[in-house]
Amino acid sequence: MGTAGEPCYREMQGSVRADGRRFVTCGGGRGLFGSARRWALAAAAALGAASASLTPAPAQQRSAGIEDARPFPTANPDGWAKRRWIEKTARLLRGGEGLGPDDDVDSLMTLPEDEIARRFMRDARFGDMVLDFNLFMLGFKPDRLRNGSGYERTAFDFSNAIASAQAVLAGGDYLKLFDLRGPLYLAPLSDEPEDPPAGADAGLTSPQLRLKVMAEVRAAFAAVIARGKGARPNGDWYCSLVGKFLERRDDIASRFVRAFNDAEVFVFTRVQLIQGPFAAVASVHAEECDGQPEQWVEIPLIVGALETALYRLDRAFAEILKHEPAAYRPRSLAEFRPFDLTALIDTHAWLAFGHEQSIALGNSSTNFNRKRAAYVLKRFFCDDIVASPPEPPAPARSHAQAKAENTCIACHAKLDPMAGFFRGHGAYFFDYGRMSAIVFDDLSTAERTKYEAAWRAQPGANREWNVGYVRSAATPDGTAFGNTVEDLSRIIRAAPEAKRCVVRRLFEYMVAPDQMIDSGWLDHLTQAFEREAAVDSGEAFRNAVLRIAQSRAYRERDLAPRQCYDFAPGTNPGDAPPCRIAHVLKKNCMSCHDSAQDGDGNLDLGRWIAAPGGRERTFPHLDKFWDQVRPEETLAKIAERLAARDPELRMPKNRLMRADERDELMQWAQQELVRLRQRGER
Amino acid sequence: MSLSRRRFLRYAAAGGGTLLVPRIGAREAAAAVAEPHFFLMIVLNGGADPAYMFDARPLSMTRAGRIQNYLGREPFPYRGNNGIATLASPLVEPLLPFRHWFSVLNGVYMAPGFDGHLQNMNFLFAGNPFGGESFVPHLNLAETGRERASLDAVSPSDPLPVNVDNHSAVVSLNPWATGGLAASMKELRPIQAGDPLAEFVRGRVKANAAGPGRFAAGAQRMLDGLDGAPSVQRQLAKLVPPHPEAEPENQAVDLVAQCFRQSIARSAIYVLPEYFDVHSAEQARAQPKLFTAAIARLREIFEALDETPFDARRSMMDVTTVMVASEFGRTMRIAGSPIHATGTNHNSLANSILLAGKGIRGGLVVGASDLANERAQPSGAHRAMDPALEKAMGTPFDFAAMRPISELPDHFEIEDHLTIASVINTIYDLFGVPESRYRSLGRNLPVAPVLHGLLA
Amino acid sequence: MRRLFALALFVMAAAPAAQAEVLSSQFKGLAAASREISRRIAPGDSPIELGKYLPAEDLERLLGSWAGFGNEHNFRNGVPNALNMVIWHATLSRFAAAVGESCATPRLPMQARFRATLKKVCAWPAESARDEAVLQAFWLALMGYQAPEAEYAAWRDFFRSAYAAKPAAETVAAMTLAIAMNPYFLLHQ
Repeated sequence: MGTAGEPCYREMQGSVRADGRRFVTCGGGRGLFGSARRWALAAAAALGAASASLTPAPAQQRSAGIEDARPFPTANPDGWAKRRWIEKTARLLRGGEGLGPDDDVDSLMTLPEDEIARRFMRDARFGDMVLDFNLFMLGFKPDRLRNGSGYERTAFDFSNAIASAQAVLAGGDYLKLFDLRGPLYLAPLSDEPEDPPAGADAGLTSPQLRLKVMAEVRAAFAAVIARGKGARPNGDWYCSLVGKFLERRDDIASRFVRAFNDAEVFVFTRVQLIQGPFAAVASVHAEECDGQPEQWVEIPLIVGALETALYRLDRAFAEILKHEPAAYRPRSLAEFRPFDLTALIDTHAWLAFGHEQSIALGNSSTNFNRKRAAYVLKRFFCDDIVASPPEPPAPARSHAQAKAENTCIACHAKLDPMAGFFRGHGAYFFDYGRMSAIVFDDLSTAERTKYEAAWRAQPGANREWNVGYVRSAATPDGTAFGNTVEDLSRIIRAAPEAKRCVVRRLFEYMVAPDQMIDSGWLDHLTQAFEREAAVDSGEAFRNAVLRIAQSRAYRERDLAPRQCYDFAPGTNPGDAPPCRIAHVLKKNCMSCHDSAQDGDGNLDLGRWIAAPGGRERTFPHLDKFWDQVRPEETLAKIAERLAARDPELRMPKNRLMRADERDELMQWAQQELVRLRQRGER
Repeated sequence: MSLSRRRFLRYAAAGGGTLLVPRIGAREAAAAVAEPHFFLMIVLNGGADPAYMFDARPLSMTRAGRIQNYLGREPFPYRGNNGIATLASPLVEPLLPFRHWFSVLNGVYMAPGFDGHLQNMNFLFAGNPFGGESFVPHLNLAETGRERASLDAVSPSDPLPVNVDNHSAVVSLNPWATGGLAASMKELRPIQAGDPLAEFVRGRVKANAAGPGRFAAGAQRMLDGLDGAPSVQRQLAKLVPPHPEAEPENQAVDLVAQCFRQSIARSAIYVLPEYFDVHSAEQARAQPKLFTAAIARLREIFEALDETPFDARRSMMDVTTVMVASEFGRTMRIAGSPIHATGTNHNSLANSILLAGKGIRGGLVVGASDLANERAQPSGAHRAMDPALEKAMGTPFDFAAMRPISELPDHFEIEDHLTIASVINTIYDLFGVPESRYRSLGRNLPVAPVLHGLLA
Repeated sequence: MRRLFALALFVMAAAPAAQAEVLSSQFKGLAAASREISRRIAPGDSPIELGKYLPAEDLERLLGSWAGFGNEHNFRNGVPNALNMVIWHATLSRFAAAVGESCATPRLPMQARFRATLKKVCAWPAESARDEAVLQAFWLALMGYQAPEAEYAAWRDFFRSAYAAKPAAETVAAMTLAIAMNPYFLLHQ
């Protein structure tokens, strides 16, 4: 049974009704689910079940359409609110498409909200919502996922987002979003070339040009293979022939990519589509030809390597051609098909940072992957170092001082170890891990081992690399160390901060950005998500959506941005300081100002009590006569200390406070002062 | 923008009531007339090396392995009317016909402690490496005493790479979109007061603007927008598309001029298409070509400003203050690389900025950077800030005399240096922006001084 | 006391301006509005793209957009201002005109139910077109359930009085525009 006020979800036990639908029962008397009204609705639904059509009406059947609806039943003011909720939730869960003419709104009105939402979640378009949310989570939400009946190219660029969304549809693991290596989803190949084919290619369509370039590659290989078959040629001669062929590698590759667009070229370059087979041949060539007497050159081995390379290329080409638009134009997320990576040499998993992310998250010879690190912290842990840093540093008197400034360390202590996960990834996230040099996005190069040494742990440390997720520089025990991108994925999966971040972002996506959320309620949602995700993360995601969809904040038409609307069950918000600043106080102030009797300043910033006069509420704050201080005096003191320049007076004392948190607390104090002044409190 | 203790005491002496009144001095009051004044920001994106413009170094320094110079030509002495000299690259010759119009500011200190592109671009626009309020919309505030233009700024170029909070009225307006836009504005019946439908639409927006929350706030903004829309529509309808065969810079200036004339916008932001970030040797070698192209564009813009009328009496140059800036300068080389095959990294210790146009005394050279040649000795302050001596650094600056100070300080004190905060405050002063918005030199530090000697 | 109050005023005067721009509802954007309107009135295989009614090219991103290839995406230009109100008005006026003209000849793709609804309201100013059910159906076809009853009532009453004698095409266009320029249609909720 559900707890009082707790919405009920599928995991709850319920009896099965006569019509086969499942009743979801809850305990408690609060909220719609515990109310007599809810039972009445459910009973009415049960009675009407025999005649009402409960599944979406097929197109050929006439359904109670919009013109038959009575949308504004003034006798039931809840009626509009519920229709609005249904419309909003349909729009949310169907990737932007709200109610339409084939929706039986009257029938939906008889159902409880969770059933309505679950119905929308069974729609194929729910996959678009999950994908769109995942892209929002990753920071690359587009205006459109779809164009006409197909999908925009950008939708295919984020493989972990797709894998995660498909998993939700198929009852799988939503947390694939955190897997930074996984499948590759290639978009349908372009219909039209980016540059019109010219010269010998003039007049060819894109599919024709693609076939042509593949044939050219095959022909180049075939020509060399043919010269090595039949009667044995001179070994030196054949080595020289193959050597010259290998020198044409880059030219062949550049001629090959003329048939493809930038995003496709990006994929082929990363997987070394052309270069990989050439490299395999080059390895055999080097073994057979370097320093070998002519008669010892095993030409069949070289030919075999060439044939194997050609075979691999054929497999790769065949897989690419499966993405011709005539053959592959997915109409729903479920139809997205992963690229068969076994068709490629040496590529077993695709790094989830695709074309656009690789451009957006460039590294340079000087930024040491910090941009990528800041991105991971912001997107997967909701730790936005850039937007919410400690206060900007004072101008330093030396470079060494600048580095030693606490404010620098506060960011770099987190950024630099996180950046280390990408230390082998250079320009466009290309993996230089097996190469001696690394090339950066600014086209500069560095000796790779020297570059990576920046992350090497000191001698005596019980690890090889200073690479990991640092929760707090002040408490090193909380650091999760690792080495590779796979380790990073594991760390993200295991981190409660990441799950909290998913829930927070889901709230932002469904309700509004920058909308205040009570940290206790966020904890409550997160704990439920974590608990459910341990069993079924796809279902946990759906339940999280449902919880937020049934929150006050979601229903509210005119949200006050700095007001919290939802609180954890059992919480009385009136007993705590206003939620917009409660988390700021808890984090920055309450360690000292925790009691009016014996805390610093005789001020307790953790409680919220009735002020003298009884009309207002305030912090417990005692003056030297042990009388409660008036609210405006407490607020003025808080504002004064937040703004003070003198380090002896500035609060929090000897601690750094995030600039946005200081601003938030200051603004709140000022607004309260104005309000009190207007009310004439003295 | 907080007040320093000194300024607070001055205000308190004047009486507590003045605390709440934005300070409007004589200059600002005088500006509260219909004197047209606009701002054009030209951005060199990526960190343009001042050594290829107005803060060059002699070839002897290149031969000594201290600074790369892929142009291979000796710079020439460039002396300001104020007697201060610098070395200029021959590449700037196309700009010399306009030298009386612009002043050069060298050795400008950018974001302290940060050398990232975005951080310094944020610092240029917002005074904070993490973003905030851009200075550009402040030039369009009613507090300046001037009637507000419909938009804060137009941008007829690629978007600006910056994180700012207040650019909702800074809009991209491409020259090639102008024709169609103007034509449809002419066809469209404007949202006119008195028209019953328009009044009804406005009424519904207003009815929903009354609440306490974000939806009501959005409706209020819609209402404000509706009220300003007829004027903007009339203004847009008058836009004449620039000649499609004209150079892009001419088209941009033409469009900007129209926007200024019709009070569509107070400012314009133009980002040159060249990208100056040259970490690799290969990229750095291309700088002569890069700067040749960019300077040609600047020349086109200056000429267009000079030749494009604002009204019967004045050209665009007469009514526009122009700033040309990059987010930072560049190092002289990268340590460990041979001088003929080195790229350059970022240098926020010495940026170079051009200020020109209305309100600016042209022909000056203001500020300087150190290590002017291979024999120059670095100061203790420089060694502390840049131990590898890869960077030029702004020299201390005498704000009263408007001259660089030649002594070599042991320690770095930012109050003694020319900073981007001073440049922005100077622009604020020109436009009559209240001092409450002026930038300070940093936490616990005073407001950056206005460069009064630069003002006409 | 007075000192504290004066200090508080000083602090208030010195405080940074509130970040009001990100704390108001913004436009949902042209793409989202197109998707909604398509769902409501267009056939599944012929969506309506409001972008075709823009007064000039390259203006969509001025109406609120996530676009920005090669950088992390932020929603930009969504805060209402005079310029984007002009562009919205121009775009939606042209869309509305197409709906009004469809009384005579279809000017945009319509699914059967909306076509039927439109046909009824195109009988304006006949009494049948002024019927409550017809007007509700037309309102809901375009607005859905996003707006409260008060908005519908105001809209209905306005058109019944101010457009009582006007021709159908003009009235239907005006009705459409009035719905589309409503904050409940344009703003993200």
